[in-house]
Amino acid sequence: MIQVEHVSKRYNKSALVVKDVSFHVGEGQIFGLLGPNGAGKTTLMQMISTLLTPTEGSVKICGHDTKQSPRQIRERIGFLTTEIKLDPLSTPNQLFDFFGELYDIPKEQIPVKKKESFERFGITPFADKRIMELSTGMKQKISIVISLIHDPQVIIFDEPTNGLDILTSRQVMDYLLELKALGRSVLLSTHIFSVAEQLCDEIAILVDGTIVEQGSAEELTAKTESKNFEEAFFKLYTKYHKEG
Amino acid sequence: MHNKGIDLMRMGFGMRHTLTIFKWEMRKIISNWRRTLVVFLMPAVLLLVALNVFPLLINYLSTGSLQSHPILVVNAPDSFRQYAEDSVKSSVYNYTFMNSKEFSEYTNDDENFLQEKLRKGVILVMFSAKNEEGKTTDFDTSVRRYYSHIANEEDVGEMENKMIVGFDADSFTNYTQARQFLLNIESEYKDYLFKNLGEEYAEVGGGDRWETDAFNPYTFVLKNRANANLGAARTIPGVMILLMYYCVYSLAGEILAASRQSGFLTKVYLTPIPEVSLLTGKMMTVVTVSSISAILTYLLLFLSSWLNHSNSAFSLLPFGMFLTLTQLLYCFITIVVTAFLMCALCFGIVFKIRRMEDVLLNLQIPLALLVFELFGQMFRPSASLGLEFMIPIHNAIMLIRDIFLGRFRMQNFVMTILINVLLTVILIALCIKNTDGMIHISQGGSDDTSRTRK
Repeated sequence: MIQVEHVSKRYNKSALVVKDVSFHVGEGQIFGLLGPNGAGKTTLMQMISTLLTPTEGSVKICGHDTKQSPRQIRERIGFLTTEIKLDPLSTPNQLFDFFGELYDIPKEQIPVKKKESFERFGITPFADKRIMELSTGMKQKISIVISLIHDPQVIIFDEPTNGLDILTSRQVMDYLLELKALGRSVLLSTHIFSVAEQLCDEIAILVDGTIVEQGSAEELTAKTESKNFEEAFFKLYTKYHKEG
Repeated sequence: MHNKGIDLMRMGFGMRHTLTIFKWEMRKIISNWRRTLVVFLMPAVLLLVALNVFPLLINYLSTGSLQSHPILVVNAPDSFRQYAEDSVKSSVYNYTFMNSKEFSEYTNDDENFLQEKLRKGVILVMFSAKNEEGKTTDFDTSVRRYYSHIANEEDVGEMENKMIVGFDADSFTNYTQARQFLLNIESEYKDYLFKNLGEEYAEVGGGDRWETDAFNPYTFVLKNRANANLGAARTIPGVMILLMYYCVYSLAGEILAASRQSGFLTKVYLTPIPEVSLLTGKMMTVVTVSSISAILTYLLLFLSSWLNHSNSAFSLLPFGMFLTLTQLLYCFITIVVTAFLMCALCFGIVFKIRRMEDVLLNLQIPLALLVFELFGQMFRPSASLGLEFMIPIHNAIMLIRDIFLGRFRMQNFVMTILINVLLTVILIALCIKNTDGMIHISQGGSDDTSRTRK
């Protein structure tokens, strides 16, 4: 579903932010990108979701290249990041209708889909309240609903549990597992070990723009002869991170 | 054939999405109507108040008084007193009637005192009349005799009937007000004299046989229009274009720059709609709202002109401003085309510059230039030059100015529209080429969200 081949990214004349990154995400798989702040996770995700163009290499989603067919890719992905905020003056109802129209969902299906999604996430009581009046957790739930309005095959979530309370985080994680069970491919970036460990089938450790190791949490722990996954990450980070 | 079908289908989808974006943005503007009113109507109202206060201020600064048009009339004949009562034009003046003796006592025969009064805005009107032998006589009697003489083709001898208007030629205010008084009163009072004292001359076929119907509203409008449109040409084009730019830049800042900053625009950008639809949908919103705003500004100024009964010489919007339907149509086309150009310019700036503060600063540069242009146009004595119609946005001001002045030329209109449309197309093409400008790209990490980069 997602094929990232030797991707590098450079902003203007600066040094490479992402260096020769390659990985594949298959159907019904949750793939995690784990790394500290500034490791290049967001840049990588922005390239995969067509927001940025790779300086080198290629990204393909469902066989479509991000450079050549960005519209076809946008039809197939659901992208969620804390950077993207919902319009504070609109209500969840209005936002759902608006994005429903933009994704060309038939008019008669929009209310049905809305009812189903809003009930699933407990949004119905707040459906006519303005986004600015809602809590962070509720906003994140609405963002998820809007991002997946078109039932995409590929889901790209950048720090989906960032700033959420334990209950909402749990709800989001459960939903991602549900999506996996439905055969969707999920690409996840996080810096929370428990999230990566519990959700991801495969994790890529990203340090200074390079994937330094890749595998399941158990494989990475065993490979680095660590007691747990957290220790494995720190060992890898210390080994590969270059100061300055 | 198949490809053509697909292209047409895509175009249809694109237009539908443009409409979706347009409806969404319009809904947001309408739902927040209080803010919209404050942002778009307040400047127009404030400017309107300023335009009306301006003549009062000039009057106060130069005369020390807010009272308008004090006219000191010495030896006024009965005909003038009656005319002053009957005439609508005359009713805006504040007359003080005196005979020679009273005038002498009033001034104490001191020339400096009289000079001071004139400097402060008083206009002096004196009547004098001499009979056939050159002796001083009553003004009305002399006028009646004059008409009798010319009706009978008799020699008028040394007869003279004078209405002398005195003012301080060194005082711009006093001079202008005196000129306006003459312009308003002179010919009308002459007609009045002829009607009331020249019956004998009229009976033998003298004078003007064809009288304009004073009760015909169209004649009334046309009488005032020439003067009013002259005044309006100085202010209205500049005001309309300035306020329209204010509206365009506020909206572009709100629906493009602020939306990009919050990341919401990126969310919309990530949907499969064509970038062109997103751009044109937003552009349509800006152009629609700013064109409506410009039309409302025009209506407010029109209303202000028609409520301005005092019709001061310093009034920036004299009474009776009027444009025909064809003239209004040319104005409207110019406004819409200019709104598109302004919008494309603002979008270009937003696409090129990332930081919100820099965006707002750069969007305000044309606003400052247009303020200068407005004041320049107010005091500009010269007519428009052909080359001026090649300067984008400025050409719209010049064209509307010429429409008000009755100097409209089709080639200038075509030139203005062509230049502005061409530049708009170039700017839109640049925006479409640089659709990355719509995206808010920031470095990831929870503690690193404020930095933006391209």
